[in-house]
Amino acid sequence: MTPEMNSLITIFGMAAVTYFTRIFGFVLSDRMSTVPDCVNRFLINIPGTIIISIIVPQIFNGKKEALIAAVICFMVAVRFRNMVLVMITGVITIYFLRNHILF
Amino acid sequence: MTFSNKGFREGVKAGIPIAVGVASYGFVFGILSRNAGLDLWEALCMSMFVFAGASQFVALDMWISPLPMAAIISTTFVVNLRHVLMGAVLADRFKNMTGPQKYGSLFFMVDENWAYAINEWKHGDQNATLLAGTGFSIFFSWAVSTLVGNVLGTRQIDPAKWGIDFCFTAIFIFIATGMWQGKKDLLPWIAAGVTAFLFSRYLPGKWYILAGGLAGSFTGMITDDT
Repeated sequence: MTPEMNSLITIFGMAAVTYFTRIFGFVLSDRMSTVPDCVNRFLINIPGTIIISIIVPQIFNGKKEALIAAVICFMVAVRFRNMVLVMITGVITIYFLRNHILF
Repeated sequence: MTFSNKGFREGVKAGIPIAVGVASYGFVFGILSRNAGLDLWEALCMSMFVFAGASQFVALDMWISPLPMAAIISTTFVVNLRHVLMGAVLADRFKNMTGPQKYGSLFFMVDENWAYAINEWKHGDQNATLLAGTGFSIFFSWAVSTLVGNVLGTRQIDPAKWGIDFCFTAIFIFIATGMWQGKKDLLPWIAAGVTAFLFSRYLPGKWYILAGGLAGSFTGMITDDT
C-alpha cells in the first residue's frame, strides 16, 4: 500500500471509531424501555461531572494565572449569565496576567 | 422537543460565539497538520469526518512514517470514549425524532455544543435541533480554519501567548455555573474534579475526562436519593 493510501485509511478509521463513540451510548440508552432508577441517577450526573473534569486540570495546572482568571470568570458568569461576556473577560484577563501588564 | 428548520437556524446562530473560539484552534490544527506532513485534503478530511479536536491533535502527535495506523485509530477511540457518556444523556431528549434526525445530530456532537444544548434544555428550551445547529457552526468554522491553517502552514502561532487557549476554559466555567442544581451536586463534582486532576497529572492523553465523569457520576448515583 502507498503511504497516501495508509493516511486515508487511518483518517477514515479514526472517523469510524469516533462516530461509533458518538452513537453507542445513545443507542444503548435509547433501546432500554424502562431505565432503572440507579442508571438514571448515574446519567443525570454525567453532564456536570464531565464539565468539571474538563475544567479542573486546566485551572490547577500549576500556574496561578489560570486560577485567578477562572475565579474572575466564575464571578462574571454568576453575576451576568452571559457566555460571550465570560469568554471575553477570560481571554483579556489571562492575556494581562501572562504578559504582566497589570502586575 | 421539536425538530425544525427554524430551530436549526437558531442553533447555527447560537453556535457562532463558540465557532469563533473553535476557529482559532482549527487554524492552529491546520498549521500543525502541515508541519506533520498532512496535505490539504488529508487535513480537511480529518477535520470534516473525524471532527473531534482533541483526538485530532493527539493523532498529529503520532503522525510519523511509517504510519502507526492501528495505534492512531485505537488512541482516537480512547480519547473519544467520553462521547459514549455524552450520547447516553441525549436519548431522552431525542425520543420523538426520526432515525436520520437522531444520527445526523449525533455526528455534530462535540464537548462545547453538547454542554451548551444540555444547559439550554435544562432551562426549558424545547429546540431539539439546537445540537445539530450549533454543531454545524462549529463544523463549518473547524473545517475552514483547518483549510486556512494548512495552506498557510509555515509559521507557528502560539495561542497561549494571546490567551486564546483560555477561551474554552471560560466557556466551560460559564456552562458549569448554569448546571449547578444545588447541594446534591457538591460531592459528585468534588469526586469528578479530584479524579480528573489526578488522572491528568499521572496519565497521558485525555483519559482524565472520562475518569472524572465516571467517578463523579458513580458518586452521584450513590449519594443522590431524589
